[in-house]
Amino acid sequence: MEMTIKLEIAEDFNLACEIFNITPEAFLQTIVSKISLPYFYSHPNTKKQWATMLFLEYVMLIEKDDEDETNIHGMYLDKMYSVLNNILSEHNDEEKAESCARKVFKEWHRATINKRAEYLIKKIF
Amino acid sequence: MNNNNHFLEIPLEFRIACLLNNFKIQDVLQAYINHVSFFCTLYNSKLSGFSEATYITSEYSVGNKDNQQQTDEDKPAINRMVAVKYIRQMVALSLKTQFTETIRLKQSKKMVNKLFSAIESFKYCPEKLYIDEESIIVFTKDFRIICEIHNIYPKAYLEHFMNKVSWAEAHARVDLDADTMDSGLLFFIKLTNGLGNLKRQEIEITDAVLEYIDEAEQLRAKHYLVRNLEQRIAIYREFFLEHYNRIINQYT
Repeated sequence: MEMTIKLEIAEDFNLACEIFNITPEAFLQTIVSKISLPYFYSHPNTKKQWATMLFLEYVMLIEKDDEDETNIHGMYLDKMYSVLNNILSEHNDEEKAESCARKVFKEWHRATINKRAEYLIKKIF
Repeated sequence: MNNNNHFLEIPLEFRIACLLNNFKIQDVLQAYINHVSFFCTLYNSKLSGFSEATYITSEYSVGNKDNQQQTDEDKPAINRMVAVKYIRQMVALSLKTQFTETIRLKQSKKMVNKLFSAIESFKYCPEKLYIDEESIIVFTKDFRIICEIHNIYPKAYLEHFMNKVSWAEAHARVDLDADTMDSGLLFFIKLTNGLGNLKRQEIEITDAVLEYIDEAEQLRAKHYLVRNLEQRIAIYREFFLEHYNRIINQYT
């Protein structure tokens, strides 16, 4: 999926990019491509998954107090944990774990979007 | 329960918590003793450090009363008239809320000293205790008074405190925003945040230490999926134990 975003490029980042002859797009693209919760949690022994780590740190930093959404997150985090735990401890199959985790992940996404839509509809009517 | 002062049993989780924070075990125990205040047992203290240390001590004294038959022999050898006088004064002092708690605690010291002199013989709490051949902890007047009045050996209080400390539980509770925290654990966390100015030992930076620092930073994100407190504690416990073993094995 392609998306146009607007970013404020900080001076230090810009200078660093120019010194090493890197375009900001190429660098950010590399990071963004590596962010994957299903991969992260299905490959617990793969080290240096910094991109996803950074994303999770950000999530934990901004954690919001919306009760409805927190409940959904809790439910799907539990679900993802039990699915992964099952596959990893019984079959030790990381590929299978990843694809199953991705399924739950998509369900989670749908549930969150639906909840938000519900909220908006309630507001309108 | 072993009712004497020999062989202080130091639980593994407590050893782990001390080592991973570069604290000496004796320093942590001494800090606990220094923050137990007889004066604070008389009212609901809010004084940071003192309230937690005193609370776990009182909790043990009270919990232990039920299954203990006090005989005449157990009664503290104390000049009752004098003791009652000074305890009354302290209760009155605790109600003088126009002064801050720190000031009241300071003022109570004189009465604690008088109360201490009213004790004729010490059956339970000696002046100091050896933890091993090199380490020694010294008991304060406050602490010795509490031991004598409740007929409890210091060993029992110290072990009660140590059993509350778990580095895995501290992390899990903070990471999951669990709102209740045991006083013993809270006291230890406050020590790690600078209470009592505990000295951090200088350690050799070995590969095992570096690896621990690196992985500990990622711990919370790695287990973000685990929402259940008990499960999270179990996972962290295993993590800290593994690193503890690696670190101490590098020294030997």
